[in-house]
Amino acid sequence: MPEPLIKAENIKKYFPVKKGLIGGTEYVRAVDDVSLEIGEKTITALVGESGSGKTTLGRIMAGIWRPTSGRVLYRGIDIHRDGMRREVRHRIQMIFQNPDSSLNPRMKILDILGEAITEAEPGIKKDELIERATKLLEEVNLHPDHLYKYPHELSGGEKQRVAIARAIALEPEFIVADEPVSALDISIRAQIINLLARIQREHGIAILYIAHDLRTVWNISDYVAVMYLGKIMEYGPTEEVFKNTGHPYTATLLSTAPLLPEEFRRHSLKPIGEPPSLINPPRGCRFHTRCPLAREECREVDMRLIEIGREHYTACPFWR
Amino acid sequence: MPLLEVRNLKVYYDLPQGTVKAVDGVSFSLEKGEILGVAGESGSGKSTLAHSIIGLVKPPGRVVDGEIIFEGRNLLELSEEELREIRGREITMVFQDPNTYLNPVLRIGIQVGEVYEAHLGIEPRKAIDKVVDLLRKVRLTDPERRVESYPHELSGGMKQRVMISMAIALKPKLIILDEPTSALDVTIQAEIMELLIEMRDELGAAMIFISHDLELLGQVSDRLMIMYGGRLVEIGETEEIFRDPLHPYTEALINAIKYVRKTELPTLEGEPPSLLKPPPGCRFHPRCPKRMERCSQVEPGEYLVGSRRVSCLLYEEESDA
Repeated sequence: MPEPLIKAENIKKYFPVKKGLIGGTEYVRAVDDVSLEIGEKTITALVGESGSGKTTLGRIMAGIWRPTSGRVLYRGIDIHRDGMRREVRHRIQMIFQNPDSSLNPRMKILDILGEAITEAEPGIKKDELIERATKLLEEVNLHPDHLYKYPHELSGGEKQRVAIARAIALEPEFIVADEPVSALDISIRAQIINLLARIQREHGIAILYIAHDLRTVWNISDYVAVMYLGKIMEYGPTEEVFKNTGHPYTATLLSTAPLLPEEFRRHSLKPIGEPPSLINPPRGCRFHTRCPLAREECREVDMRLIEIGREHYTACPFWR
Repeated sequence: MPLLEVRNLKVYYDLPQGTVKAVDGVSFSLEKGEILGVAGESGSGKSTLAHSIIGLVKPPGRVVDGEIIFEGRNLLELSEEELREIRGREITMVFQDPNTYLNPVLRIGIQVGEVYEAHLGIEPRKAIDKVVDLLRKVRLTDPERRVESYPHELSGGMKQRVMISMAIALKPKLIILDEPTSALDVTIQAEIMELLIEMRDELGAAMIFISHDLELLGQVSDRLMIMYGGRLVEIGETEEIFRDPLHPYTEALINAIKYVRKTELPTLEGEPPSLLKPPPGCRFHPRCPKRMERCSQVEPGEYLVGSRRVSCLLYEEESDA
């Protein structure tokens, strides 16, 4: 992997929850000691189901949430240390699943983009600002007429294009895209994924692409990290993870994708039952309660990532 | 005689901005024990279609025209009372979000038991054994304890199992499923799908399975119907449609679910049509890669190609009908 642009080190994020009437506090361990490196100009997919902690980790790596412990380094700078954040704020951007909650409904698209443009360049002249905003819309294939519209006059796909335009206005080096196409219709999804891939290429941006849709992950990512209950289960180059799968949990995910080309379909593993609670996650391997291949040791041994190939790691010592 | 026959169904919504033609002249039939997948994007009319079959279209929506023949009776001509007798007993429905239909302050056992009370007059407390059996059948873990639970104590997947138990309780002939697994994680989704197919095999109930997820429908449905802009685009055997889609829109959908690596995904430019002001001629023509001049002028009929019905002028000549 190229020299990492962003490095998350031993990130933990615990959310407190009240324990019944008698009081006392328990913690939801949304992310539990996760490290992840993202190289310049690469797309890393972060895959997992609800409760896996993928969104929490994404927000921490975007600098939106603080970790309970651990740190995130951007070119060696701790992005959560006081006073440091401003230096990197423009370099790191986030795109959310639902553009309705991230675009202010009372602002015209020009003003939404204008906010970002003036943040990068305070005191920019009005006509220059309009020119820049028009260029941004062109980059995301939207007509300049859209500048004078409000978000509600746009379709879901168009709103997501505006969100992408706003994200690139500050010329970032790193974008966290949290399920950017999950809420869109299937015929629109491909348009947005192609757009993200093009923007990434042309601007040389690194992307953390958070998703559960294996099809788009297979299409655009260079690396994949698979999360389950706050831990990374497997990490590696996308082709390696799909073809030489190193963890039973990854295999159960791949088993739910029947249209995967033949060369991948080596698995038909089904997980057992429901995911356990994050408040008292299982000891040993987090996946052992649902793993169809679990052994006695899996209940006790705390799993660590082990290297099984070039840049390819798994938290399962028994499978393969 | 088919179990269900829908003929030229039209369901419109009267809104201040105008009339939305959500379902605009749709016909299809369903055999006993058959699973029909209905695919379409948002605004295709697939959910309205489902709701209209069990008489759940509420103002400002109204059924404008057509017939819904279930076991020889036109459901659109029945009284509300007659319809209520069929709904929940002969025809049941499972919705995307169980939270909308489960009462948060009632224990699961009572809610499921109410199905027996409403249709068989058995008091919920006396039906508890039946309820436990039913919950076991949908493989809810620990059913004896679960009857005492409240909905919030159950996960999304477990709640959907409860909804399915209510839908199968009285051994219906038809179950309508409106995106039943769309809110669930993929691994849970896979289990629910397996359960549904098992229920079909056991009860012999026919199913109308509505989803935007064509890959999922490909796994479960015997036949597939594709909708676009309130119209039927193509209907036929699922395998045939996957192998050789006829309509350009179906083809685009099938292409969209293929796995391609590091190259542009095949796209369909533009956006789904407005149902307030649908495009003239074929509703798909503004986005169609194969459009001809006539497509914006002439509304396509439905043409029979082999055992498939397709609504596209490309097949006007080929048609067997």
